[in-house]
Amino acid sequence: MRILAIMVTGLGMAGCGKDVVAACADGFVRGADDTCYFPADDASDNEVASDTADVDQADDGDWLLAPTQCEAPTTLPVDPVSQTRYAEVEGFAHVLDASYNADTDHFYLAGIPALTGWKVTDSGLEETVRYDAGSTEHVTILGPHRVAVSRRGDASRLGMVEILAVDEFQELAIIFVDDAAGMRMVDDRLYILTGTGSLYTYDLTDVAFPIQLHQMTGMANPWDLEIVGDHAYVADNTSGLVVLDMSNPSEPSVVGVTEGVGGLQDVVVADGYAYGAAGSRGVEIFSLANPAEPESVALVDPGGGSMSVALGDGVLWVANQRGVAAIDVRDPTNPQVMGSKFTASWAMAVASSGKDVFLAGWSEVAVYSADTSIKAPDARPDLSALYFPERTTEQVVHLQNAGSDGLQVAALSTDVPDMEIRIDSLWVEPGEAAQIRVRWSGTGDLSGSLCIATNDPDEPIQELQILTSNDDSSVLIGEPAPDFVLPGLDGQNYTLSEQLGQPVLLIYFAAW
Amino acid sequence: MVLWGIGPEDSYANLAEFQTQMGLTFPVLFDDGGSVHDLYNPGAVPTESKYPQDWIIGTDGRVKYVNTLYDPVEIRAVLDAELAADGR
Repeated sequence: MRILAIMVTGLGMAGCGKDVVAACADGFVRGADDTCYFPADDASDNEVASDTADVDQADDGDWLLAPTQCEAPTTLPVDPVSQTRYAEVEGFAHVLDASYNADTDHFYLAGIPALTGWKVTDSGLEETVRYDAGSTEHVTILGPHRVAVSRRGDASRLGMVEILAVDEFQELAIIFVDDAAGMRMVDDRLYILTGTGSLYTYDLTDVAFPIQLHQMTGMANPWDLEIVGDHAYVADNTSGLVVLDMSNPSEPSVVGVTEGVGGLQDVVVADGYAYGAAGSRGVEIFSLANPAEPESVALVDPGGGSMSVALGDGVLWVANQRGVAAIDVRDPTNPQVMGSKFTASWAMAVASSGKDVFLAGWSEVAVYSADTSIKAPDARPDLSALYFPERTTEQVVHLQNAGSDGLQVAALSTDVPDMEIRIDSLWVEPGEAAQIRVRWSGTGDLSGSLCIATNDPDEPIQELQILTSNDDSSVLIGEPAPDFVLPGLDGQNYTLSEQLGQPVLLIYFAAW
Repeated sequence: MVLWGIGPEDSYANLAEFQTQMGLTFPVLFDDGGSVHDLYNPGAVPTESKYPQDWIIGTDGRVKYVNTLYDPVEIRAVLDAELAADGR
């Protein structure tokens, strides 16, 4: 999903590039240099809007100058979302799933190259147990002191579900299931999804001797499921939400599929509603008033790509790759984004104990809490650095308010000479975004920062780097690109040097 | 312009599955053993590198951009400059 998102946004947002998109975006005009510009009103060029009254009177298309004393406002709202505990995860390449076990008061993380168990302590998070299982994808709680972990397998490695006692991760049994994905345990039955569209039912009355009772086929690309009463709700990454009749628990059958516009990667169900993680679309909420025919009642996008969802007390938590977002779902038909926190590594999975919400990133774990009685803004620049590669004189930062109350931009400043900073609005409603236009009339190499001061309670001062090119890069910038020939999955060979004369975007992804 | 995905997944089958799962429609190339990773990350240990890595090779065949953070605005800026320069 994240690769797809890069492709779509990387190209789809190229709205101002010559010959990438013929027309300028709405509200923009093409300048003499063939670049799209937002029309600046000369009469307003020297206007300094320092309070909301000025902003309210500003016409669309005005570019405002902000105060340049980049200091945090003296009084800030209270942050409704807070991180209470944090720990780095050693030696992980990839975290993929997390589950909470009330009996051991542990969260369990599946990923590459291990399965780990984490205890929430008064002061932090402690890794208490680790099983170097290789590549594991899903983990689910089977009951007191037992978990099941799945791995997909391939030609050289068997797909399987391992049933483990959690204290030392001793192996109790193995079920060989190719392409094993999400699992759920209800009573003595373990339900195992497969990437090939099956749901297996196993009798675990004797945990050491799992007995296959049934195999249902016919789903497209199921990732995970929830079972509530006589129904199972499957997050299918092709079809959306698939409903299974479980009234005969040994023989599930498909009774409904949502008419969605896209797939789901995770689902949680509570109080008559299903909450599906819908990737770049955000989170889709379904009413289960008729359990066999879920009806979409809301779609809310907390940004990033929604991968994993968990429910706390009236709060839906979303791991959306860039971080964790909290959404007030006390009224599921009217979800309100409360705020979000960026993570250092890709945020992949959330799990809830009801009390604590546990976030797993590629290299970190953290616990969060949220208070639905508090409203506050959340300032989100859409990039962390401003690059002015050769021939570039202007960049636009979108400053999104991902919070639940109005965002006031208090100041904008830079230490870079010959830089003009303007903004289209100093007041940003929740869910809206302001545009910050940065124009550079200097020459040579750039090095400095753009300072944004707002009433965001946890990050009132945010600094974006300003650079000529990517400073964080290897020695290769500006050097001839190393040539290669690689086989494509379509059977053709692809040679970099044959592409000379046109720009090539390479996206290198990994799952070691 | 050209867009390629490159994956060093530990098997061809895994990468093919990844492509299908993600619905990728651009060419996905299999970097068996991570040799291209090593070319573009001299001296780095593959398992310790950050992913995904976005690279832009300019019209002149030189490396213009690399980042391990998803940042479409930067990518757009670099590609725009390349496309504008070359008129493609």
